[in-house]
Amino acid sequence: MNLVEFESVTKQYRLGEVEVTALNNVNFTVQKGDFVAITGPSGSGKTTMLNLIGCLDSATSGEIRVAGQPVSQLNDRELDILRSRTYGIIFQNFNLVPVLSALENVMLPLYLHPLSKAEMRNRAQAALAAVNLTRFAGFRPDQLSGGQRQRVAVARALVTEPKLILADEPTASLDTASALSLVELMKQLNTERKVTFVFSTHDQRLLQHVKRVVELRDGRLTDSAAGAPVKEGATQKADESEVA
Amino acid sequence: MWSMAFRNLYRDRRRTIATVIAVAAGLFAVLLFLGYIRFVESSLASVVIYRDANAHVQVYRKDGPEQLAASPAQYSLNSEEQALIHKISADLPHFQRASNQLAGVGVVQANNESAVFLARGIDPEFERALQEQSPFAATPPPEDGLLLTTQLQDLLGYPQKGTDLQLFSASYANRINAIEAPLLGDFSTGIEAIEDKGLKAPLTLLQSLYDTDAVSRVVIQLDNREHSAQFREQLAAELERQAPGRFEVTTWDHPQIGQLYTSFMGFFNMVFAFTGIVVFTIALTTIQHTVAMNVADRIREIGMLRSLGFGRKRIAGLFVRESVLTTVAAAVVATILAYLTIFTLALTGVETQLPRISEPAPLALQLPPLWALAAIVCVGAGITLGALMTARKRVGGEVRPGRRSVPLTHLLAASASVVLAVTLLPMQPQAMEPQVAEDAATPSEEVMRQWLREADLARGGWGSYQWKLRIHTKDPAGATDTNYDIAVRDGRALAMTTAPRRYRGEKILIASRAMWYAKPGLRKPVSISPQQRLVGEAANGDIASTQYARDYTPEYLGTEALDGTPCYKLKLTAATNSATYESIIYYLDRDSLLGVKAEFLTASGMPLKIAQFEYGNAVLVEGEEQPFVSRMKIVNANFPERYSVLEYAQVSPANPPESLFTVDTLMTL
Ligand SMILES: Nc1ncnc2c1ncn2[C@@H]1O[C@H](COP(=O)(O)OP(=O)(O)OP(=O)(O)O)[C@@H](O)[C@H]1O
Ligand SMILES: [Mg+2]
Repeated sequence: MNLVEFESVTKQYRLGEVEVTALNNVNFTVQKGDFVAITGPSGSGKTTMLNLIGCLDSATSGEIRVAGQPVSQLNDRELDILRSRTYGIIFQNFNLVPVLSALENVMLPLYLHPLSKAEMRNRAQAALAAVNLTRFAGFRPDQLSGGQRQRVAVARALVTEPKLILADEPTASLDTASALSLVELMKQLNTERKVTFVFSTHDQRLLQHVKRVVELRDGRLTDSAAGAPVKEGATQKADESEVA
Repeated sequence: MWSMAFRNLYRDRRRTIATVIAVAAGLFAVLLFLGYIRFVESSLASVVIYRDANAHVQVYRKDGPEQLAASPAQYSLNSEEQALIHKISADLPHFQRASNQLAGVGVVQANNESAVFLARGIDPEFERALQEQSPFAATPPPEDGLLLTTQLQDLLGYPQKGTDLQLFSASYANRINAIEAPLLGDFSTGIEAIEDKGLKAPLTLLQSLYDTDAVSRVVIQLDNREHSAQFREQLAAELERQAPGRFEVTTWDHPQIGQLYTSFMGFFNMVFAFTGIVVFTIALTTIQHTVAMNVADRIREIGMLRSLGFGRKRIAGLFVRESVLTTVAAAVVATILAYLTIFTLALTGVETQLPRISEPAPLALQLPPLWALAAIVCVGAGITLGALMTARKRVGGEVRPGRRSVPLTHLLAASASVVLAVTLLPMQPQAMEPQVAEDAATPSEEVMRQWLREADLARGGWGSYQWKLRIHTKDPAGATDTNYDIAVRDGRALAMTTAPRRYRGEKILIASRAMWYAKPGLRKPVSISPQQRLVGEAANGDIASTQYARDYTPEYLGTEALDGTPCYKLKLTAATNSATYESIIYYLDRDSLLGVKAEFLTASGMPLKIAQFEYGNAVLVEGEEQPFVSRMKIVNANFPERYSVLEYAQVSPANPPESLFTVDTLMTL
């Protein structure tokens, strides 16, 4: 089943008199278990697309459905709930709360779920373990390296067991080694835990590790991307999870 | 969330500290001012309760607080009522002691100066007990003499301490009376308006002046002023049950009693409210500004939280929590500083001048913890609400991590505007004096004076006579009769009381321009004025010696018929200050030239009393029979149920010796 569906989605920004078309008539789907990279030059609309998938912004025209439900019909509160139940988000610059420890940062999204403090703690610790940061649970962001911080961000995205993790250029602030190990981690989570990932990057080195690459150019999906060349694996995975 | 909010305070320490300081300064000001108000409040309260001896609860005759000054006798409490009040109040909880008090007016004399006094008669023992509880020094109560305010002493030319002062006034039976008592010292009434009239006397002494065992009120001291209202309720209910509609029970903060307290507290509370609002606005603006700055600084974080699914309210809540913590920190700082200041002030013994209290008082700010807490909670709640509004407004908007720019925060200018109401006193147009039409029939002043002389003659104004005068007085307090022997010689008169028995020996001497009052027990005669009340509606000047021709300037108002009798209508205006009345409308029978009716007016022309005369007596003067007044009825123009009837009997020509009419011999008679 389609987790996210874009049907002729267009997004325009208005800057005074000028109108910028960031996404132009995009059709696109994400399925359970997908591991999708969105690529393209700067200004091609990657961030815009992720924001739309994550319901952080609304389309100018066209329809976006999340788990079959058109998001344009949801009000603010319902969107908040949808976001907290469906997505985990990883940001380029980590966006950790500087005054909270790694563990507390990971616990943060759990405040929106009806859990006891102990459960929250256990789940956060498990998430940190999954990104190999158990030792650093008590450290504050400024005491961690860039790679570690981004792993904390991944743990934070994981902790709510979201249907889909969105990441906007998660490796942009990292050195090559850290970037590669982050992608490895994400892939591992994808295969072992069946976590669906959609992330943007313009780092060509990473793309060879990715099953499905979608390329944007001037707000349009290129043909190769629309053709979804590496689809077999994804469907296979989705089927497996459905059986389970 | 709270711990996150707390940790956020450390992010921009300088901003946090600045905010804490600003809010703490505001709260500190509020707390100190509150302490000061409470200090003033309790000082004024104890002045009213203890120093001014009003105690906590007062029992009056119904409407007494308003009416006592005008009709002291009518609104006083008799001994039976006093006993009832004492008995009931003593059985109620929190009662400590009760005492009778008397208030009254009169004239006090010393060094040939005289002045009006407003006296309070208090049981000295009771007053001493009250003074022991007072934080303000007070002169010990006069045991057997008088305390006068320095202003009143000044009016009397500063008589020496120990010299006898003479007080005279109308008794409760509405007749003149006087007493002597030594001046013992000073005191202050605490009320500027009556400070130049203040006189304090032992209750029994004042009762003897008013010749009564009635009192104006019973005051009751409780163990604590907090219980006043409750005690009042209980006492009033019980009194109402036993004597419906008879009594009125008040507490010390009744506007008629605690005037000093109520007026100043009204004023202070207003100032406090104003200051509070200004300080609050400043604190609120600071917090709002800080919240807005914090939101602007953390716009990325807000975006992140929103993309995690945190609602706008929840995020705003985080900022509100931060401002709550800031306010709490400020409150702690302000409270500690406030108490330190209060403590220091108490230690150093700084003194302050309280409004309308002559002596300086040690500045002991009073800030009970509960009051401080209440003030802080009020300010804190307001600030939190303001922070909430700002946070909601700022945090709102589209969710977009890291992209949105936030408009620059504006510092809301704190503005407190004072509206000054200027009361313009419109000029009162001067009423035009009605012009009396001067017609051809207008008699000359000489003629009118001759008429008046004729009229005076029939009222004993000229010549030498003696007669017996009976004054029957009636007012709502009751009816009295007093008899006098009158001797008159050419405008001078001596009146001696013959009945009732206990007033026998009283004398009133009218010696051309001056009047004197003497009675057994007084060492010196008291100088009185003709305008003063003698008995009931009769003034001293009414008793005898009517010399309108000498004392007034006549003006012709035409003719008018009274009960079918044609009369001249004259307007008499006082020409000397020994005249009994300011002005008189006098009606003279046109044929006999006898005074038929007189309307006595005040200086402003308001009717005071109306007198009617009958001439049923006749005397032989130089072989000629001449009519003489037999009855004069004086009715209060404003309260017709109050009147006095003067009956003249056994009028005969006489030849009293000159010596009878001198002050020196007055006491030896
Ligand atoms: N909030 C906005 N207001 C106006 N224009 C915007 C806004 N966000 C994006 N755009 C415009 O939309 C287009 C797509 O921007 P977007 O951020 O999606 O590109 P991107 O592929 O993520 O670029 P980069 O690789 O530099 O992050 C650009 O032309 C950009 O200027
Ligand atoms: Mg981008």
